[in-house]
Amino acid sequence: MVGKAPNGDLLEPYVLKFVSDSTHLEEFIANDYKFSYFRGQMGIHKYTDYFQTGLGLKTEATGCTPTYDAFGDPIACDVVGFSSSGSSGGGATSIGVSSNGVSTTGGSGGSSGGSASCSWSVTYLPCLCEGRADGHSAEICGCGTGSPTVLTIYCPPAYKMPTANKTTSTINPCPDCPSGSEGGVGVSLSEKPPCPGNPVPNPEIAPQTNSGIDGGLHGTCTRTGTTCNGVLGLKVHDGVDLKNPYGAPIYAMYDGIARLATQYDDEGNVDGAGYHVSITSTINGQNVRLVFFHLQESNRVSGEVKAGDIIGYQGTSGNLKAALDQKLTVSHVHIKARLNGQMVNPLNYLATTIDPSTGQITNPCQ
Amino acid sequence: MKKIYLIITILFVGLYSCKAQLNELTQTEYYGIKINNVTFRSIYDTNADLTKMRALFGNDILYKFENDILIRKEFWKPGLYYFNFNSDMGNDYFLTVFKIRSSLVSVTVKGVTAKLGDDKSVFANNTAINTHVGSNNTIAFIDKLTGSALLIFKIDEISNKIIEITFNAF
Repeated sequence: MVGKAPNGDLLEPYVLKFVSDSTHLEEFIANDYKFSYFRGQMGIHKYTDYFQTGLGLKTEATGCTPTYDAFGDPIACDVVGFSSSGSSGGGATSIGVSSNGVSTTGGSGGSSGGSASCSWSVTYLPCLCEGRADGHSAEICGCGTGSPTVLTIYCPPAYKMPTANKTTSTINPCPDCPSGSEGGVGVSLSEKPPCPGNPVPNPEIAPQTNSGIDGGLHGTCTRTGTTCNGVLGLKVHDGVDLKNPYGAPIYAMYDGIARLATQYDDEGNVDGAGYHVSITSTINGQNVRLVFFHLQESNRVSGEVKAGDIIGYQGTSGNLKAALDQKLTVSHVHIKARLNGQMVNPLNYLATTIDPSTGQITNPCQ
Repeated sequence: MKKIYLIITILFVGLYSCKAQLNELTQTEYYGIKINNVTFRSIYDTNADLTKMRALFGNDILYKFENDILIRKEFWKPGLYYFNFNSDMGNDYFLTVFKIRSSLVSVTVKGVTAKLGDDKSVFANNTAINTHVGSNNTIAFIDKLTGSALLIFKIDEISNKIIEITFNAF
């Protein structure tokens, strides 16, 4: 259950799990795993420890802490249930979807159903035994007793986690700050939220020591590389750097689906882009992905978000810490934007207008 | 009048001490940084191509490609060194991170070759040192052209030994 949605977005990791008592399991197996014989429960389970990258556990991808049952199996932190119903046997599948009380029955030769969150379908495939090179007998692969069956459950990007499991249920405004510095240096927790459409209040470009405001703007040849606009030794800065004090919140600019990600090295240390949040939105009918970098690990939000929701808090994760230690820039959130997969200027999506030559900002609200 | 001079002096000293002390590298010096005997120029020129990186660091270098929210390629030899290249569109890759993890690997910058465990005295006397960065001192070299690529030697305050060598471009 990890893959790409039709719009190209990666789906969050889930595992499809079937549970049945032994009697019905035997019946299910005896009928070549044909789903019309399945009796029990199906659920899509969101785990933590099934998904690893390098040595870094993807805890932040699921927003839950790894725990295990008595058998050593990971305990799901989020389950969306499907339960079977209908009569046993026969050619027609009858699988009810009960996660939100909707029950659907299918028709002969295949069926489908769904809920507000996920949809499912069952397809009978033609017999594939003949001519198989692996030597399976007709009985094993299902020929002669029924067609092979495929169950597909699709949860679209709009899938919303149950509220009880949302990572936003508890918000500590400044989890990484020393005690007594609630909100971080220079941050007032009572500060007004930004104008609608802005990620931070009064967004200003964060300058670089060498290149000034240019260094915080998108599309400028201000970074070290091989060549940029014909100038050797340079590369373009993709994205914008907006000033944001440590510990200050960052807000969703548009409704969308948020995903958490982290750049780890081979030993599981955070570096580079640090902790970040990606939000995919449909803006004026176009697919736009905005990514917010250098956040704190805690209290980032995944799943469905609304414009104006807090999606995380300013941190120093990744290479920002080294830049701050050496006083090469000021605390900022780095934002990248992709429009239909192509890098574009994130300032195009801010409510505030920023003059690239002067850095002058014009806010749409007070 | 003496008081005014004193205040001005204190202000200047204060401002100077607040500014990070960086060792600037010309383009020639920057691309002349070596990891063992491999220059930065040749690493940049690989454009994170696996075959080219293997040609520089051996066929046993490990490799990982990620194409998700980030597009990046990682190369490493466990316990020795680690490289990360990022890309915006999957065409041009640029070095963003490297880390040295063994005293078997040396880094040469401005003609000075240093490795983990070496005393800070391997660097010339006029090399700028930042004191008390976190709980340690650092010797930082920066690409003068952009000020956006840092090679940092972290020095233990007590032993004066190099305890970490990292590179960050941002």
